[in-house]
Amino acid sequence: MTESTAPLAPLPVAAPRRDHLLRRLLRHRSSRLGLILLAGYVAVIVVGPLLVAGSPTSDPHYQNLGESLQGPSASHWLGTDQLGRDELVRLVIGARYTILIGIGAVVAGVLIGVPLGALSGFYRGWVDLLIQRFIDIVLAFPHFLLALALVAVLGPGLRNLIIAVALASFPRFVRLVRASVLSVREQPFTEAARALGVSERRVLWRHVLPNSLTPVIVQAPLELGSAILTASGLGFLGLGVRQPTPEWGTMLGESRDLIFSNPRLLTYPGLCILGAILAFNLLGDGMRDVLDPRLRSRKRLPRRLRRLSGKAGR
Amino acid sequence: MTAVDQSAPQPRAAEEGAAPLVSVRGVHTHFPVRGGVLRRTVGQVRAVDGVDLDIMRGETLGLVGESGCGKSTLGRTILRLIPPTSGQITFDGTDITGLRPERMKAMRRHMQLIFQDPVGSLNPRMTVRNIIGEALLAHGLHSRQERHDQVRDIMRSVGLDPDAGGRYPHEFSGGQRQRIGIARALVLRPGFIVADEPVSALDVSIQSQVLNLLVDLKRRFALTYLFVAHDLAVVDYVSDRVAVMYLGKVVEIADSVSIRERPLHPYTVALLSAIPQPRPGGARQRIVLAGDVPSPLAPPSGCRFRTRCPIARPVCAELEPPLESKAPGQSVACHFSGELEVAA
Repeated sequence: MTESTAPLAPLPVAAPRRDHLLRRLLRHRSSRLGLILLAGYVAVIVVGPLLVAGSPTSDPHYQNLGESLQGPSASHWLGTDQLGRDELVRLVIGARYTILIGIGAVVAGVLIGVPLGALSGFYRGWVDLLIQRFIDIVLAFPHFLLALALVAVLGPGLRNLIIAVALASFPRFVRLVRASVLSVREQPFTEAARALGVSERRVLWRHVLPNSLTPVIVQAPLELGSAILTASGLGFLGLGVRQPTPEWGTMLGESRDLIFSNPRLLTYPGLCILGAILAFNLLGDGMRDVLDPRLRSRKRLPRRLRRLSGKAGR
Repeated sequence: MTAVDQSAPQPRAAEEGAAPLVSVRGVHTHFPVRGGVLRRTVGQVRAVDGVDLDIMRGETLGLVGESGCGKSTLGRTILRLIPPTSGQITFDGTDITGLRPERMKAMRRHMQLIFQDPVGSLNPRMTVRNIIGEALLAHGLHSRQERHDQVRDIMRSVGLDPDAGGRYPHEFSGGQRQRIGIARALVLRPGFIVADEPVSALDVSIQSQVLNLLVDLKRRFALTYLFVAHDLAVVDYVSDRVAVMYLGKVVEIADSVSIRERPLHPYTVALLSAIPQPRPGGARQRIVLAGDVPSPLAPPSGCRFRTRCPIARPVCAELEPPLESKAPGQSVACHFSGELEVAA
């Protein structure tokens, strides 16, 4: 490997080029694996439907009771389910629902949680008190139970599922942002802004909030995994996306009576869910290491780099 | 150049009768200490405890004292970044103690702060251009182009490359970052600057550069400084007058020559004796103060310095010595001022 050593420009200011975040994530072992897995899911969502298209069985709702519960074959690579629907087609089409629910719920959670946390930590006093006691109430319910209750009230369906999962998870973003804002608001640069005559609102949006978001960026992928798990759990209980829609959790639930006779019908969607959660958790782990240098340990250095630094020391 | 209204600077307004730019009268700044389950106030940290001070137009007033003596708090109280508990602060003839927020904001154009910490005082997510230009924006001054020009202008004045405006603070060295902070304070062309230990966080080799820059800028922009520091040598270099603080009070104030040559308060004498001497062999006797600064939660009765004073007598515990003029231009708060001498 040859590192091009460009001559340093005789500038009064040394400018170490900041590595692009994506490149640093790819260099990190666990986030690399997570990104590769995610890329696989995205590819399935984008390209998958085109590949399975063409035959009459490519419709995930196409039923053929004469061909129900068949094992893997040339025409049905992963076999068929109890209604004779092609399992592979259903899994491929189902990917979009799972990812959509996860991302939708986390985006909604961030949009609700971040402003609330920012207001709470920045203004303190009664605003803080009000918001925090409200959050305490929400957190008093177990996460999954709350989502369950919300779906029961709102009724099943994709949109309601997203809302329910978001409402159950946003308090964590509120707490996270509040803690971060509380420490950033004491930084000297916020005092500097006040000394310049910058308004309080501008101090919050321009100085405090941008410097408080790193924990949110780290937490978001981890929350994505947990949102997918919650949504799948609701689907399994029959409270998720409505029945014929091939959402993985729902598919698990539909097949639970067949766990002994046809375990593959539970294995495939289960593996798909597992992979998605794993991907987001690995990505989140890597992000934490990359974005928070305080947690980066020497052990995390890539082996190649470690060997290099060892040589340099000799 | 901008038409910021600024009366002609009077160089060295030490003579009596001239109206001071900043006048501090009986200012107390206390912080409540809360404790217990009910978060009740259980005590007061008397950070600033009755200070009278005049800062003349065009002068540099040095403010020295140990860490924790309230000098930074006093500086921030004068800028009304911390509200005073009681007392009055007058800036250029206007009482700013109870000024309404809109008027106070307009006032901030004329008074600025330079920070000690060149890292924490710059927003890491903003470019240097935006950091410096924000003040102009906040005061609704100038179009985008004008703002850009002003920022380049002031960057050149403080010795920064104007083309580096698009970079972020972490790309600069400590000294350069301090220059960014100075540029930010000066871009509104204020008349009064509180410099809160502007060099104590810098390498010694950089300190003199920044000090000289501050002196140079003072001349160029007709500034008045309140220069807060704990290093008497630094203060002596830049100041016309020096005020010595101890535990929330000013114990001695005089022109910098008198402070250096003829200190009257025993605390000042002790501080001076702690300055390392560059002459080998010519060591002066060091007066080592025993113990720590008493807690500002419960300051000693009478004279606050008596617990560590080498010449304390019984009367010091009973009567608090007022800040009195003991020599022309020199005020001291001590019953026995001048009795402790620097052994040369």
